[in-house]
Amino acid sequence: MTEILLAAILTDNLALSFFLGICTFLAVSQRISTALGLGIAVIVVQGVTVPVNALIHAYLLAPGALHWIGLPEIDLSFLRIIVFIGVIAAMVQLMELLLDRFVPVLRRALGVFLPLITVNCAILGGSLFMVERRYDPLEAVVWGIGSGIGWALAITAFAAIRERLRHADMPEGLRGLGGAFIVTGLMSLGFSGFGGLVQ
Amino acid sequence: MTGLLAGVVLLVAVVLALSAALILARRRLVPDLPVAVTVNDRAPFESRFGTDLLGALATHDILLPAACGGAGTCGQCRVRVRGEAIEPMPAERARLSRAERREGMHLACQIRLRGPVEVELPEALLDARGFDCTVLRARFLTSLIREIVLDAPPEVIAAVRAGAFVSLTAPPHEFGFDAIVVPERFADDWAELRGLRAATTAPVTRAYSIASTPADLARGRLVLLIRLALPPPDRPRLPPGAVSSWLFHVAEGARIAASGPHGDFRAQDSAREMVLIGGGVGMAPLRAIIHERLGEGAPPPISFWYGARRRDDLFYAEEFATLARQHPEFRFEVALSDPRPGDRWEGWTGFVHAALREGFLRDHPEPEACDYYLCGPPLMIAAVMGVLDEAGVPSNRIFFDDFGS
Repeated sequence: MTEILLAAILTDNLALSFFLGICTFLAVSQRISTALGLGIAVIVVQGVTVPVNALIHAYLLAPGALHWIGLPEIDLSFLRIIVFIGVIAAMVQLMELLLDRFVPVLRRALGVFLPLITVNCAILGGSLFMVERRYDPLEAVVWGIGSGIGWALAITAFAAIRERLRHADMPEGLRGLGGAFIVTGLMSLGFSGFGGLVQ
Repeated sequence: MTGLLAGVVLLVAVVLALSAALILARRRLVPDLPVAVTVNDRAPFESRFGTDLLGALATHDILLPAACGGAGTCGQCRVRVRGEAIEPMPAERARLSRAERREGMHLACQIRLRGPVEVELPEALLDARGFDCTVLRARFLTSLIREIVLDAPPEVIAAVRAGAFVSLTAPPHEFGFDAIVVPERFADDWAELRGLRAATTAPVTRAYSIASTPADLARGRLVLLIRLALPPPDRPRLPPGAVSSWLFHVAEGARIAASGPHGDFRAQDSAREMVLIGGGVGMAPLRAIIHERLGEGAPPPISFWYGARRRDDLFYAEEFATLARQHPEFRFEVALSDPRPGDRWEGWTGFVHAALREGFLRDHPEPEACDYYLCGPPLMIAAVMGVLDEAGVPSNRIFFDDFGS
């Protein structure tokens, strides 16, 4: 369990090891507070969708999963992506309603990037890795929350660096996105140093 | 076969289950409840949970100015919310100063109703109302400025103070610029604009200053100056301004939905010398103010400094020259920044702020004792603010209308 958690947060960091969800990563990292808000939203969405998708996969989609209703020979795993995306979409919509009700300022600050979590590859990636690595539902909970935390950690740290860089004397052409790409690369390099941590 | 059936059943079941969960959550989180809105100690009215305050006020005939149409970019729909502080939205942080936010100022378009609210508005705004008017006359003053004369109901006219503005709403429309009727003399300037198209699928509202003289008002007429909002030169693919394009297209006799009058740009109640500085359609509120003050009899000295590019861009110049001849206390000065050789221009050359510095501030015994009224493009306002500051004019002597560009 600890290995899965550590792998999810550090070595297999979705943003910095797999470069998943980079569009949002670059776009919503101007301020720490907004980045942290989005990070928490991603943790919640990831923490719910990965276990739910794990259950759906284990009891409905996987080959032989339907033996509990007497249909062991049916294999519905080809429906994986469409079902996973449906679950993610519903979850994001729920998230939007919750934020609009309780944290409207964050809702406005995130703008279009909140609904865009629906097609954030980090979220779908989390569910697909879960299937690929054959996690059981309990491990899926750990992986889901852990990978969400990893992504949130990455974007918050990145936003913190960008906030400081705003006052740095960078060459004209590198200000903004140019510098952001370089920082992303350096952070990814740093995260690769965690490589030996988990076997 | 069973596989196919099981797949279909499963998909349908998943989608139904997710939809049901969302519907339940929505009922919980966005209840369809009435919410009481109280304005300035009047009797409260009911609105629905979740609507924005700007729209809620509008449905009860309280029309706040909102040139941007509720996008949070114009900063005009200011209200003070009483009671518990609401955290300001990002748009409000950008538009309201820290002191204003501390006093509970908000932008009505950013507030979603989630419980009873009490708001404070200037009483004058409550008099603004929606009305329909007819285009009586429309003519080109320059190649990109059109004068439109509207008839307005008497109660609207009675509320107009010189310097005020009205909001006009263009209905959904789509047309090419080749459908705009342009006088022969501007045909050359318009040749390259013919390819543009104006289109909007929703009504759009913009604000226009009233340029009416007291005589116009007495006849129930609102005179507006419309400058065609073209895409900026560096981004030619942007669409032209929706409302200004439409107002260049409307013919005499057309009906227009309007609201107003709004605004607090007006002549101060003082006997100080008045200096008005304008550019482009910033002419509009200044013309209203000049005519109003000169009509009052024994006004303080007034000077009007107007900046344009060349002679073709000048309008109403004859009118002001005549005024200057009739009223010794009124002075009219024009600066052309880019006169053409054919203009035979002998007046001020250069930007209007430079002419003001050379022709007024430098020799005036007491520039800090005058009132300054500015209306024009943001760059002009910034430059004039610069020379006024240099001349030691305190900022509370300077009044400007920052939307009239």
